[in-house]
Amino acid sequence: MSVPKRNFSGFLDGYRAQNIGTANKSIEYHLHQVSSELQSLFKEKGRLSNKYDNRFFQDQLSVDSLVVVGEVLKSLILDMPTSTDVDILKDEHVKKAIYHYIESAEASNNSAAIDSAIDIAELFKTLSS
Amino acid sequence: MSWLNLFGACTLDYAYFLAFFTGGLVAFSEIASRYSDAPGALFKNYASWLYVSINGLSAVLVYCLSSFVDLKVAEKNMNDHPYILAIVSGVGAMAFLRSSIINIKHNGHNVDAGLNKAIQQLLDWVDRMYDRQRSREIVKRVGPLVKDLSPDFLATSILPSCMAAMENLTQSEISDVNNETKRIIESLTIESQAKSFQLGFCIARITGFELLQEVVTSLSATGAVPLSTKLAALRDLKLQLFQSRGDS
Repeated sequence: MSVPKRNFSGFLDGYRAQNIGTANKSIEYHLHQVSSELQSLFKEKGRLSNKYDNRFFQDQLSVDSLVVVGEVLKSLILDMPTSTDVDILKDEHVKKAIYHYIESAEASNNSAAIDSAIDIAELFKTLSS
Repeated sequence: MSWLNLFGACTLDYAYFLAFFTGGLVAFSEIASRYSDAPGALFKNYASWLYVSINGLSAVLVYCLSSFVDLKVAEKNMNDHPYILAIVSGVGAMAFLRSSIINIKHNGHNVDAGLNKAIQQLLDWVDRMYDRQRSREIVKRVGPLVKDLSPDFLATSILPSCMAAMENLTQSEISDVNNETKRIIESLTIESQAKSFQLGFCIARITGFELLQEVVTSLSATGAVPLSTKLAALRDLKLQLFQSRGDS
């Protein structure tokens, strides 16, 4: 009786699909964390709310919106010290939002998102020093 | 003496070789145009020799068959001019053997009858075998070259540079490669690393491995940063910023 040949192609497809699924879930999770941290920040500092929250929470938080979220986050970091009394270096919500954004960019393996995350991290580092 | 008489003076035995050679040449040009990235690689591949040989033998078969028929061109019997007949057989063999002789309608379906099915099946098999070997070579060489490059970098820097370097690309080839690149880049179901590989293979099929390698090396030397380097920089920054936090 002949031994059937092993065929791993189905297994590999499944494994790859699982990887993509996991990466997408991870990105979405971190982006939602960014969103909820900023939402908390907006709630606490009521006067900030109108400028950014609409853009954040109306957009669908998915892999495609990574770069847009990065732009908004960057402009928030740049604007906040001048327009509000929020100390972004000490505020936990801002730090957590940046952390989760970096995590999502890392999970995406997307060059533009990684560039955006590096920009934000370097900006935050410069402001901290 | 007419030019037909000159050919007619040749011996019959050489005509078989000529038919084989012409048929093989047609097959070679066919396969070289299909795998235009590295036509030189055809010589190193046994599947391509098999393809050429089958076409050559088909040409000999057509030549043999044609000798049973009294073919007359301009009131001259072609059987008296075996070299001409051999060349015509070589060029026309594929057209003759790949077309169905008759088309029968059976139960509402058209059924082709002729040698074309068998020959086409054989040629498809050899063609697929050659394709697999070429693909394996491309994967082996292109994979390591592009594994650290991001899909965006390949699509926005490497591909346009390769296209600019090549002068005789047709508009349809450019359009095909652009469409394929767009499809890969915009896909939400292909992971990033797989996108890089696919783009690498897509570019290498048009440019060949050597040009792709040259362009990648040149652009890397100008400071274009590979994805792995960017990721390492991002991880460093994350560690510096959040080390003391133990993490969120």
